[in-house]
Amino acid sequence: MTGRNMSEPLIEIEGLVTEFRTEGGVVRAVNGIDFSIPKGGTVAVLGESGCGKSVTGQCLLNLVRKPGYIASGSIRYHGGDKPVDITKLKPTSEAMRKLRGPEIAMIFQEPMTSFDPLFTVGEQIIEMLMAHQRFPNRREAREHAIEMLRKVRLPSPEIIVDRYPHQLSGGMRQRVMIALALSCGPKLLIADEPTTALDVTTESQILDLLRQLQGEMDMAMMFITHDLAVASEIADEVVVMYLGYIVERGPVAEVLSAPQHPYTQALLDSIPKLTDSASTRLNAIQGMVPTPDQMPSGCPFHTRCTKFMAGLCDQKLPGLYESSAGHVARCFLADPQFAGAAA
Amino acid sequence: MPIYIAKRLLIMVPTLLMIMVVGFIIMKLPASDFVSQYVLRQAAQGNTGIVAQQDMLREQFGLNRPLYEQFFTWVVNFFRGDLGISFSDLRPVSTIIMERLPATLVVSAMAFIVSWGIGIPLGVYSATHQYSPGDIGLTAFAFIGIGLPDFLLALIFLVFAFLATGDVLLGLNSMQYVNQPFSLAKALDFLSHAWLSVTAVAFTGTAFIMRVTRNNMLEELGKPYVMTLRAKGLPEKVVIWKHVFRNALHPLVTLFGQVLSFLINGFAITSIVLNLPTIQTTYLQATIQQDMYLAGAILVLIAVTVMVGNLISDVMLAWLDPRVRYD
Repeated sequence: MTGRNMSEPLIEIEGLVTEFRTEGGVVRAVNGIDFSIPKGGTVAVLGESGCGKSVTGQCLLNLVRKPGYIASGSIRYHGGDKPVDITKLKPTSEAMRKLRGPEIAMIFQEPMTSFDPLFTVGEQIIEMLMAHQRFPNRREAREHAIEMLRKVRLPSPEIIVDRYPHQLSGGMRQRVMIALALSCGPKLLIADEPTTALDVTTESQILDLLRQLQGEMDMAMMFITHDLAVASEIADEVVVMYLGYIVERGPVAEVLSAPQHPYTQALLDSIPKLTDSASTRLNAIQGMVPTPDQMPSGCPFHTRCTKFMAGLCDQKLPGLYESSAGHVARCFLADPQFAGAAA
Repeated sequence: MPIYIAKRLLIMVPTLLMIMVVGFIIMKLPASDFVSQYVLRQAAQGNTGIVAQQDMLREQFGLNRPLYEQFFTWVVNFFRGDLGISFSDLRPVSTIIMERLPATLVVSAMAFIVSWGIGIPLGVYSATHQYSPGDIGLTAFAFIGIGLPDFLLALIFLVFAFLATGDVLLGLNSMQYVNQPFSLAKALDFLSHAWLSVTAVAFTGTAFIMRVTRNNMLEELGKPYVMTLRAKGLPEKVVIWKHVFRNALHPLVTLFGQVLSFLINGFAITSIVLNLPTIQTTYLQATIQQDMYLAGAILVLIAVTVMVGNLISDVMLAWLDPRVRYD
């Protein structure tokens, strides 16, 4: 897959800003981020809860919940006949609706609550196929729904198709969710922590399934996760987010072997190692994630950073500095000029 | 499901018996009875001869027999279809009820249809346009509707109707139509009176149903499955009406269990304030006078509508929600 990194982008995000209107004022959840996902490639978006990674995913479908909205930036999608800027489309417009499903699909973290409890899972797939006029009648749509359920390797799909969500286990429901998302053959799949609510064995099965289907259907994937191991397993490229900013971005092997940003370094350090003795304490990142309405000045991470430089980090927002081809980090320490000046 | 319904119907018999026991005891609790009240009223009007007849009256009405005997006679006759007679106007209780029921049902049904028919769509609109000027206006209207009691509203309407037309719209028909057989003119006259109380009760009802619908819709709209539905590219109309609204119906269906009893008993205070010839005025009158067979029969009627209404709403819930299974 890595070989495809240089291929043409399927979706390009530039300067994306998403804000939420709250009683305490406007809060920025996504703060001018740029990245792109190549056709057929996988980008993992990594970060703690509240860093804006899920909202970024929702932006790609123009589905940010009120009181949130896309304030500026562009999301150019190149999957159709001609490129469209998703941020220019009204969330409720017919053009946007037609992108959701056949072009860009999404799977969610909570397979328990992500289905309407009142309809069979089959009906929930069929209605999607019918909404996009994939089949002339419901009978054929139903055949396709069963076919999709077989594709995600559910046992006896012709029985499952008539089951209600509450009659299935969490793992089965997540498989149904994948079948649903892929049923219109999307070119981009946004997976928002699809394995977080599942146990470890089910998690690896679901990851294998996603990887296999991605190859079969030749689609790109944006994989939102907080789990470094999952990211390293599935992605070609990682985007590390902190408080709505991209703090580091690059090919997965580079970022995980030679992290440039202190935040990424700290994340990697906090993974317990099998070689540690039982008495070794876990390396946690000091402090707490500030709430978005108490956004630190300067570098967003300076309040927790072990390499904090007073008078610099709390004054100026560092830019994205490239350390090797395609690998950038938002830290003064990664700025070659700064390193030169300090020496 | 049929087994479940049969079971529920069967349980209604002992429930009803218990209600009859409690109702009977409460009616017998005061030291007075119908006869002693009647004698007092007559004596107050100068008819002192009546005092000598009170034992005879008691015997005639069976009020001199032991309590348990009175109770069992009542219950046994009741289940055979004989509801007894009214002490105050000496006609069979069933005749009085049948006389009062049609007007009661028509007025309540109108109020019910208006409040649900208007309240639900307005509630959905309010929720899907949260904090828009329309929603704010409707919310203000709802608070007025819930805050003002319906009988007060009816009185305000009454005053304005009087100032505008000079008619006093008390009751449900003009004097010349009362006790007349049914005719088109009487029906039109009925409507010209009934709008007042119906509007007053429906105003409160609409406001209430609207708020319940709005709250349920907002709660459902915040759930993760709504994001899934939209991410599937379903038209917003389908998202709202096929999915969110159906999920939001849950508490409304539970409320629907009370609708049957509302049809009998929903208008109580307004009826009394406006002197409407509905069953509630009869019920209150009968209770005050200790006209016990009449009051008892209406009590049982209300109890039955509550029980049947709840059964209907439980069956509807099972039909609506596959997670609810009774067998």
